[in-house]
Amino acid sequence: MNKGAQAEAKKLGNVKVVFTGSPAAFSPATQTPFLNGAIARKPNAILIAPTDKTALISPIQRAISAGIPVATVDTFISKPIAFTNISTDNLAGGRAAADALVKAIGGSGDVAAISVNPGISTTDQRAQGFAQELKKYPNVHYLGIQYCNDDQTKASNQTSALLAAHSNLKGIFAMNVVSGNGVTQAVKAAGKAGKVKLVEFDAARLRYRPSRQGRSTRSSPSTRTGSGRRASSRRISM
Amino acid sequence: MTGHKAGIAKHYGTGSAVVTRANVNNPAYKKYLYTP
Repeated sequence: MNKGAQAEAKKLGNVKVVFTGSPAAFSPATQTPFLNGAIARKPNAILIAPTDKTALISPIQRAISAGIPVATVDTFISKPIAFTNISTDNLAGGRAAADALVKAIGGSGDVAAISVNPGISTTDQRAQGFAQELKKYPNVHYLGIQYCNDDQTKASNQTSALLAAHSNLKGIFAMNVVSGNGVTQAVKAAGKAGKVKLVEFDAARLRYRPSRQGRSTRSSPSTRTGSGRRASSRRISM
Repeated sequence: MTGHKAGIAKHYGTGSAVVTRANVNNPAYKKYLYTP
């Protein structure tokens, strides 16, 4: 998103985008101090991807109360106080992920999902759409969702445990890049690349490189750079 | 809120696509890849 916003700001010429945020963790505890810092600098507007749909309501309200318009980008909060939200249709994305995964596994077998944390608007909607769509497939058994706290090692360990416990596990939906990295790592380590299918949201180019193990991957990503471009264009309209 | 908010919708969709190995090199799909 930062790349897209910077590119659009450069094109517009009269907008300066200052990017700030924690690279360490995607959580309200790490994000809120950065938001408070941004409010203190009194910008003309704030674009934010809230790390939690409830916990970020008050911090965002503080910005608005200080006279700073706030747009949410990618994720959103459950109270409609932002003047606009720019995001993909994550419910539809979750449904598309289910359809793609069922097709990849041949229409029957166990499937599981790995997400970040409950409370994040985007991944919650992806999970909802995925679970809803799977109900259309009577020969597919959904083992449910596990949360990796945006930790690749934890996602890998969770996947290893799933593979050990469910011999009929044929597919996994990874709901973001980090969980997808963990799933890939565990599936390869178990020697099941190509046998256990992965659908990942927000997939990177790396996912599509030919693999000696013959791993098959699919993805239904949102467009984060696109979100940034749109947000920057909206901002100049204020 | 300062400035002009006329014409700004409450929500903008960014679109999405299912990207596979078969279509990943197609520019219409490649643009959706996540670039950290």
